[in-house]
Amino acid sequence: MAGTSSESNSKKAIQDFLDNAKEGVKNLTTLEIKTIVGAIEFDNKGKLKPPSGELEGIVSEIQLVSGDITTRVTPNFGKNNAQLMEYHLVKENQGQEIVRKNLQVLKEIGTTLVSLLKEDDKLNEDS
Amino acid sequence: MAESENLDALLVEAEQQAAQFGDDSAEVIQHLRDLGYLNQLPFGAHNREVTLNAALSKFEAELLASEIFNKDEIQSLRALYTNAFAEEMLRKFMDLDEGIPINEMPQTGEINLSSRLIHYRLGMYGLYALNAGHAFGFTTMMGLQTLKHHLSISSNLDAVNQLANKEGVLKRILSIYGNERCLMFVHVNANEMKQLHFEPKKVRSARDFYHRLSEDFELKPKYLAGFKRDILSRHQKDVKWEYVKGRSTDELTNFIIKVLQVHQWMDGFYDGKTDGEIGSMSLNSIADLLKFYNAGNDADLPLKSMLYYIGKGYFVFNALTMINNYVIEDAPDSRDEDVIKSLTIQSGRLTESDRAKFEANLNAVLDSAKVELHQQKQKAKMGIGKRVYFGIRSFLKKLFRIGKRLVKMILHHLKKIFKQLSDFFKRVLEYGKQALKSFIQGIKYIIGRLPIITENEHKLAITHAEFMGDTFSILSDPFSKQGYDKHHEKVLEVQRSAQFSVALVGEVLKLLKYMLKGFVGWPILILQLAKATRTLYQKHQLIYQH
Repeated sequence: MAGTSSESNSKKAIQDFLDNAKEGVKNLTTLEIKTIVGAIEFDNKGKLKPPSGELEGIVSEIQLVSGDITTRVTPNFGKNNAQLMEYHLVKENQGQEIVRKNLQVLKEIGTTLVSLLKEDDKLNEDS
Repeated sequence: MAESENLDALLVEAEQQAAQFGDDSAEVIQHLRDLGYLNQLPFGAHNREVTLNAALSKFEAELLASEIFNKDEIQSLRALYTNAFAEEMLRKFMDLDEGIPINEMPQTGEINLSSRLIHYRLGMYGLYALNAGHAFGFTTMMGLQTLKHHLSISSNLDAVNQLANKEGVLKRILSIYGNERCLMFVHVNANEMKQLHFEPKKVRSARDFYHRLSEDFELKPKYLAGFKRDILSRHQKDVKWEYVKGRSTDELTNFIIKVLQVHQWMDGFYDGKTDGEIGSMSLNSIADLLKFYNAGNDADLPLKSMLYYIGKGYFVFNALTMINNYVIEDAPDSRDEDVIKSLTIQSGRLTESDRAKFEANLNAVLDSAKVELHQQKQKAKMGIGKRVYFGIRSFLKKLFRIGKRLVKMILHHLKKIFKQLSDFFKRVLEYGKQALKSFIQGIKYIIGRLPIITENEHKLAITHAEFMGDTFSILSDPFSKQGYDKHHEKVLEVQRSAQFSVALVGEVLKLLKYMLKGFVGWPILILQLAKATRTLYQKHQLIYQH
């Protein structure tokens, strides 16, 4: 891969990965769970068609530090379907659980990440 | 440039690599056949699918009933492997290297997962000739008795579980019978003689054979002198034919040959039956193995130093070198990682022209391995081909042993050992396939490109789940309760397995880092992914189960 464009892509890809991980952890104060309902379907090429008609939805923002939850909901969301609200609430609970587990995963790979970042810093200092 | 644009480029390259692997069903079909869940597949795509799904359902039902794993473990494994659950579980059960231990012996007349596995394992060592789907019974017990006798083990359960660790089987044989039993006397019939890739007279050097024998074996001088006189005699009239014939037909010799055939098959050097008959195929595979050994060890061990043609179709084979090659000391896994690191560093030290040659050679070997694996699997699907071995442990252990020379082997000895290297890499490709899929999933999860779509009664539910917990769901209205539940389960499943995938990306970060220096190609990344997947599978229960 030496001297090729794929080499430079790879370099940037690693940097992206590191940036993504750092940004992700840094911004990990609010969790956003959105559920939208409407007429959705694929076209005959298998692509998602733009939803037709009215869309209803609910958005929950969970403050991970304080535990506060703010919910915004459109007037007709779940009016004729109680399952929808249930679905959304399950996703809310799940979101927090997923964060907990993903942080565990990040912790697992954290040592590698940190050593890579340190190596990068050292390289920058040297140069 | 958008932040994730470069990860996208990596993703595109990874997907191009993964697209080359093709159909997954051949392995499942082979395993289901070997366990007696499946016979011939009917004609017609629909009928084939129905038959295959029925066999898979039966396997999964028997797996649950077996209690080899408890319900929590099954749930955790299912979440980890998702769509590849059956394939991965079958692969683990069928492994004769680090196979899953059976927890209980079946009762006479029973047909269950344990009875099938026992039959499969005995069959692989030539101790059971019926279909693995037959009931546990008299024939099974006969095979078990022979096995217990040869391995000097009193418990049926311990004996069958020992078969799931082929290295352990050889170690046990060596400890019970000693080096002398590594001298194998074999008879090859006239037809088989014609199939040999070498001339018997070329392996009739008493001096070379004796020299190696006296160097390798800690045998008593009296035995060696007798061996020279009675077996390596220049004049056939002086050979002790009774002894030669007796040793070539005794049951233990036959069993040890089967054990060696299993090892050779798992290394890709042997495609024949593990029947204990050492025909031309076995002798040819010994010659192939020796070429590979020589290239990997900078050695020049001639075949005539390990094989001696006594005459009348009888050979004596000094199997000690081969056995020692197979009895690999358990090394911590981190050392495997060092090999891959060393491989990348070594290839990085090459001159530009050598590096180009190395990458071209490595890609040629991998391309050949892919083509061959594809053909082999197509045949396996039809039930007419040779059985493919899908385990990885031996491969990684061997890589550890020859790894430091692998760059040199690929660069300078390619022509001589191309077939062996190609066979060797088939294993890693097969294992790398799943690893690469997980890698792709991990990258997608990180960059938020992992849509989870459920279709139920022509209605859709789509969820975008991001690594840091944010989710965005868009659902058709109305959507049935069954639809919600199905989608909900799917989202959970994907998120669980994506956690594993992200951990996998993390495991290969170091190697990705080497890419910065520009000397890691995809073949080595796939190799590392295969290795990392195995390590993570071993760790995963600790991390994800609760």
